[in-house]
Amino acid sequence: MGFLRKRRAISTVLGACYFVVIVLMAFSLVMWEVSQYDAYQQLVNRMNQFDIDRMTENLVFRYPGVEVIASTPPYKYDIIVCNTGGIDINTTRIYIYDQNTGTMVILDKNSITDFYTNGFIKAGASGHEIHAESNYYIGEMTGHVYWIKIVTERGRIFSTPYPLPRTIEGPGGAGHFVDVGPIRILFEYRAINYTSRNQPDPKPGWSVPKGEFLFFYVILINVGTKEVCLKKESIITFMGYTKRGQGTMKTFFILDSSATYPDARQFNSGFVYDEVNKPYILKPNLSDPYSGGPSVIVKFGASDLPPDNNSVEFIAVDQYLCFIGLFYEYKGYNFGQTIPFVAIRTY
Amino acid sequence: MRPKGPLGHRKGISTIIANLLMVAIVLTLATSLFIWATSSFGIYQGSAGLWFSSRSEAMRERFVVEEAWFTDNGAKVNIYVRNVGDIDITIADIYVNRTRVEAGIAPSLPLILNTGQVVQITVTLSSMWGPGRVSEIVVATSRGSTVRGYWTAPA
Repeated sequence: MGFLRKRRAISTVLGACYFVVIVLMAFSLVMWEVSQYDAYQQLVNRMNQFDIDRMTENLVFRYPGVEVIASTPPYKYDIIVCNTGGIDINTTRIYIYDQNTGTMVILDKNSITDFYTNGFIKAGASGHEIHAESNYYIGEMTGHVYWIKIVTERGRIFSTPYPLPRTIEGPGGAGHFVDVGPIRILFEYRAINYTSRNQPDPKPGWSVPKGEFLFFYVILINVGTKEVCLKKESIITFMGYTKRGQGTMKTFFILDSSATYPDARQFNSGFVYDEVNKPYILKPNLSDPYSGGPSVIVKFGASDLPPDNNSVEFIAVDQYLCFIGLFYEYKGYNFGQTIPFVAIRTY
Repeated sequence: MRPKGPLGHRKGISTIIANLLMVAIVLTLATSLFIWATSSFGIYQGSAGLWFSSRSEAMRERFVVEEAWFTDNGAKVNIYVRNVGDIDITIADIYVNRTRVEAGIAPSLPLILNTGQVVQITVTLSSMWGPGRVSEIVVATSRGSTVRGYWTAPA
């Protein structure tokens, strides 16, 4: 009972002990919160850095966008891009949408049928080729418009229409296109191409063979602000001339976009142009109309209006002046134009 | 002669009782305070921990809608969602034009998406999409993250 005899402040000591314990608990709580907040802040910084990295990514498609390597199944093509973002980019998937047929092709790295390789793009890489292999053909000369989307590992999506807008200059370095109304017609080496039974792949058509059925391919671009829908009366016509001025005239009517080449007098009826259900539609570039929308390859080769499906051929060796007669619907109105185009020869 | 007290000494009983009372009061109050502080700190720590945990998990979520493909002549839209974040996510809801899609989703929701994984979600629309029309598509996760995109149906 010694403590009772000593006049010590037991209550004060007990209270102080409790106080110290509670203060220690509060301090430990504060320390715990600080550590939690610190960890959270580190996470925030890390994810912010992730977002910064993601925003730093920039992928630019370089002309011509796609180079076809193999035009027989399995189709092989390279997608050409430049990494201008200052950070390495790892692609994870490529979507290709065929606007004409509504078909979607998905290329994955690990897929068996539709896949791609060389999808890691170093910072600053220019003209990097992503090697794609697919059972679906993608080519400029199909006349289709495709949308190619490349998805990166960080979640960015880069897309482009294909074919890309043309930048190749024509002879003389200037005046490489003609704008008439909402339509731009390119004038360059590949402005006019042809196919035939002996030439199934499109070839520049400045000089074409006589005695062979031909399809002509012409590149059109919409520089207006609304869609241009081509009508079935659209033609490309060739006025032959000789020294005596007695040349013949040959007219090629518009064909379906799926037309490839004529292998007989009557081509496949699937090539007959259907202006109602499957017309050529030239898309505008709404953000910058003058630079033009995606280029569209329009094909000609029928001897008359649909449903005619006879092919056309040049009979004689001659020189021909070429005119394009376009009928189209724009902003709800029908228009018609005759445009002097190129001059070709037959051999 | 003064009688001895209960402790055998002639000391002040009231002082001792007062001391004992004071000790008891201090003990009681301090114990109450200790219990209150402990529970309060515990509740605070628990809620703060939950906040940090949920915020951290939500912060680590990153996902994108890679593509929305309108198909089946206007009846369906295929949405491709990829998880590019640090943590698995659970896709809880999909909204098309500010309307929650409650039925006709394959695979059904909620859907767990692992890190780096991509999934195709087919949404059967209650009203057909019109050619060339723009649709707003929102994908929401169970942690509250959303990704919003605008997609144009083919013309």
